Amino acid sequence: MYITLDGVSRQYDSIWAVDRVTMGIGKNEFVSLLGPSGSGKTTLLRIIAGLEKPTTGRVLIDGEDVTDLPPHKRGVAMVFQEFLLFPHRTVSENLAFPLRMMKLPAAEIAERVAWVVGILSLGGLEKRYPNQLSGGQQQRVALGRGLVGRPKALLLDEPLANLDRELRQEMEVEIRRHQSALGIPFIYVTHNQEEALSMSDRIAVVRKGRIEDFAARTDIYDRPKTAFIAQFVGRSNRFEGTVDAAGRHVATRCGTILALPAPLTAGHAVQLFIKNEKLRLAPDDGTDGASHGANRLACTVKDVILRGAYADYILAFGDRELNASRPRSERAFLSGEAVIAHLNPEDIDLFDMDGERPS
Amino acid sequence: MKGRWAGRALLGVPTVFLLALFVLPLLSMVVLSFWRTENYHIVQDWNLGNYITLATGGAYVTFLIRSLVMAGVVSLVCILIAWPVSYAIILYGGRYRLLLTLAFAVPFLTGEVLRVIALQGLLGPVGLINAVLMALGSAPLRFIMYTNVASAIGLVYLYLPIVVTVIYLSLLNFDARLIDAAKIFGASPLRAFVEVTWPLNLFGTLIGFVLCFIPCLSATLVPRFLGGANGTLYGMAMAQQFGESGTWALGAAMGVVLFLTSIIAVLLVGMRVDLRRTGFTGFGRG
Amino acid sequence: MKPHEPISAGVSQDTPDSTPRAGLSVGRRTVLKTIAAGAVASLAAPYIRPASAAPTQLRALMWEGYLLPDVIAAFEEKHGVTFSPTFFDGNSEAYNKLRVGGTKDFDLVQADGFWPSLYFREKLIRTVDYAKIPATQHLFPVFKPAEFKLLTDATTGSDFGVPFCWGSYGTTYNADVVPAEKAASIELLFDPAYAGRLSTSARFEENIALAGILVATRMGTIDKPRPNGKPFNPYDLTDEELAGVEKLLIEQKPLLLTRYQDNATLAQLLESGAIVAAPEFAQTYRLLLAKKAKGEIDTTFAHTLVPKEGGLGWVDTWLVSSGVPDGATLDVCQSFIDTMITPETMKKVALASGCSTTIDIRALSTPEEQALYLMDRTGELSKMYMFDQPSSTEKWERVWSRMQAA
Repeated sequence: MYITLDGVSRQYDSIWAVDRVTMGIGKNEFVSLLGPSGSGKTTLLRIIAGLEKPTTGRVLIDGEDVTDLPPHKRGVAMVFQEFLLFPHRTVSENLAFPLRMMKLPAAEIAERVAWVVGILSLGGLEKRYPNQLSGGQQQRVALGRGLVGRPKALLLDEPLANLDRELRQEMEVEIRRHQSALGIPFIYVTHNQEEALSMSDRIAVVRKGRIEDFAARTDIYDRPKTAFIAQFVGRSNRFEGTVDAAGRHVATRCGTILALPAPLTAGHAVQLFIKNEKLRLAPDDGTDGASHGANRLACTVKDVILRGAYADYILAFGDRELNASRPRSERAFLSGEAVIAHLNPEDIDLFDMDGERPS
Repeated sequence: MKGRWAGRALLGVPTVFLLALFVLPLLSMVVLSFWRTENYHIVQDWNLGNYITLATGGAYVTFLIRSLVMAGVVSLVCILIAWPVSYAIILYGGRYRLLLTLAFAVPFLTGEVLRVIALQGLLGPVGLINAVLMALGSAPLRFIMYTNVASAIGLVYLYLPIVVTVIYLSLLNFDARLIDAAKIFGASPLRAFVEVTWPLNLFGTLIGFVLCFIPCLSATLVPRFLGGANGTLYGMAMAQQFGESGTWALGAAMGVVLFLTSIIAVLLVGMRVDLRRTGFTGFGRG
Repeated sequence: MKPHEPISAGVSQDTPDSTPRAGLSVGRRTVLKTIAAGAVASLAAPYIRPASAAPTQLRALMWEGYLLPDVIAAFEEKHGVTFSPTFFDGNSEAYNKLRVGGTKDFDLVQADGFWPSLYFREKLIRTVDYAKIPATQHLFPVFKPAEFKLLTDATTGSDFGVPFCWGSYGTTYNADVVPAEKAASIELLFDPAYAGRLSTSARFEENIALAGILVATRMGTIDKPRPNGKPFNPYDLTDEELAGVEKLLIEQKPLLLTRYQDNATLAQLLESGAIVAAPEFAQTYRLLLAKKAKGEIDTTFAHTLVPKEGGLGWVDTWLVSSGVPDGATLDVCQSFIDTMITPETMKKVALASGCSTTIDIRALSTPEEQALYLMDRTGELSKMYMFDQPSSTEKWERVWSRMQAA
């Protein structure tokens, strides 16, 4: 592995912000550290950068143990959430900063700055000061400053959090493109699952200082390892219940009987998740003979939210709500319409009450 | 339309204040400096005599040079002390930051006279320092008894709190994460200071310098009480003109020269600073 | 001139603000204020007329050290007036206040040395009637108009002031270190043998005048006919003498530990042995004697009243402002002066201020007090040169500045 974290922990006062993290990142990998705020993902990033010292554990970059090296000797670069451009330096001076620190000759500095200005479309802004730039432009300069020194790795700390949605999506594509072009690992900290899913090769879900799972983005999304991941990644409907005597069904608290994809021990308390887009809808007009029963929930459409290619349905089911997301190519439902929501047992993610997959 | 008038009226308030508190007294000073005195009488005939005396009298140029050197040295020393102190408060002050900064202002609660007298009690031949030294059997420190060194110590003591406060406020407004950014991009801690911390706090530092330099230039009490026979500074000599010898016109001319010197000093400092290069936008932190 | 505080409290309270002639509180603002006040006063003058009827208020421009609250209270009660004092530090300050319209603001004024005659020449003060001030009969002979000419108009023979306290600017010295014969001369203050152990006041007039006596003695000009035809006056020096003074004062600089700014500092410097001699008004000397008597210090201090070359002296006086018309107000003013110079009041003044009195209070004093307050030595006053305005403050200021810059 190109970057290795070996049992890294960081303690603040009595709290373990990072707790025994071990992970390896490949040379051409885009890895996201995904987690809610306060989960320790930023601390983890700062430990890799050298801005924080781990209380225990080692950090290796390109085979070298850098645990005791200060940040300026690690050869990594970083893009910050608040950009942190040097306000007293022009765009080109900001871009030249890492190169000057590397003591490159002036000609090479100019060449590399020009290169970065080119790939990030910053032409014409070279003489401006950061406060004369828009948020998106500042973000590009921050990214450019990260790339210009051809670092061993680029660490990105929620770099898109301060941008509006449209710009964000544009930048997501761009960042991903630069990563593949440069062939260096990008480690991307975010609390935004969409960003993580859209760019990453692998995602490490961070929770309370620990890595909940570190896997390919499709695995994280399609086969969440824990209830926390199921809840945090994607949008889901959650049920709680107890496995019935036959071990084939779950009686949920809201009175529904759901069929299980695989048999389980009777009496087992479980939680089930089904992603919104996996909930199928059919009109409740009696045409479907088995309209009521296991995995078929009779609901009423409460509200419809159009999201372009998708429509989000808020369904009233008994005294709770269910969420479904269906392509607009399917039959549309109107508010007040009675519908049957169908849960395919294969699409259900099932966990113990402590969040683990039942063995 | 109405808003514009309101705006003008509001701008008028500081203007009137400036006129009443600053321009008018200054003007009367300038006028007086072109008159002359004769044995405690102001004679209102227009002449340049006072300025000629100042330029050719030798003594006054000496006082001014002494004061410029003194003010420069004191301001530099203040800044050299204030930087690490303010930095330490920012870094390690934690929740006591405000308290620590306020503590620096405590000496201000007493009058300047009291503080100078307290210093006299500390530095003089029977002062604490020398008393302790003598009690320990060593010779008293002659160089802190009524010397320019004593004056310098006194001025540093008087104006250090201002400089610390100004630099502290500057550092407080400074985004220390920029240091992280500099380090990440290859700057050693020292380099990060030179490249980021220092230039971005240069403006505050210069304000601290000027706020120390200007009053030092016109210092009266400190040289009078601590400076000894060779410690006469410009401000003290100027006060003499008004207080003892009644040569007010010459004193007014000294005041005008001091005012111009201060302005030139501020301009010299100001012209060397590109505000943009200090991250100063004039509109708060952008 | 000098006594701004009761002597007992002098050490702890003698802040520089109350230092005689220190001029600390006088800055350019003061002058501007004075100019402004003058402008206002001259504008308002036509509308303000001093009451010619019985006054309800008695306004005095005086030295703070002479304020005796109980005496004032009794006077206020007896005459049904309110006494409102304004204090000043140096003669020049009071002079300025009077010149910018102060004659309308004050009824009673204090000054010393030759200043009263300057005031009278400039019509800032008026004549007084010694017959209405019966306590003047207790004046020592040397202070009676017959002998003391400074308060009498030479042309008309009328009096314009009443003597109050007196003193010299003699040398207080550490008798354990400095032999008396050395202390008898001004030379002591310029003696390299005591380098670093001498001090003088920060007052430029007295420094120059005292050095002037020595310079004129050395040059032999002190006894020669003067250019102005008058006898030698250290406040009216020739340019050659001033040049000599400048040289002498520059030579003196390295010998001085410092120029003391207030009596408290002087007392400390003398007491600690940091300095062994300094010219002063004898207030500190009396304070140190009192301490010695109480056994608080061992060192013996002595005081040369008049150095052999001649010395400086002063007589504080009560004057009546020219804004006071004949009639009830003048009567109250003269009664007040009379009250202040009765032997009983004078005794209190002496004890409170540490000054010698011009009124003969020997009958009320112990032999020690008589010696300490120089009651038998009033005759020596005639050997002193009275405090005066420098002949040219401008020239003197240059000498002082050049000395400071040297």
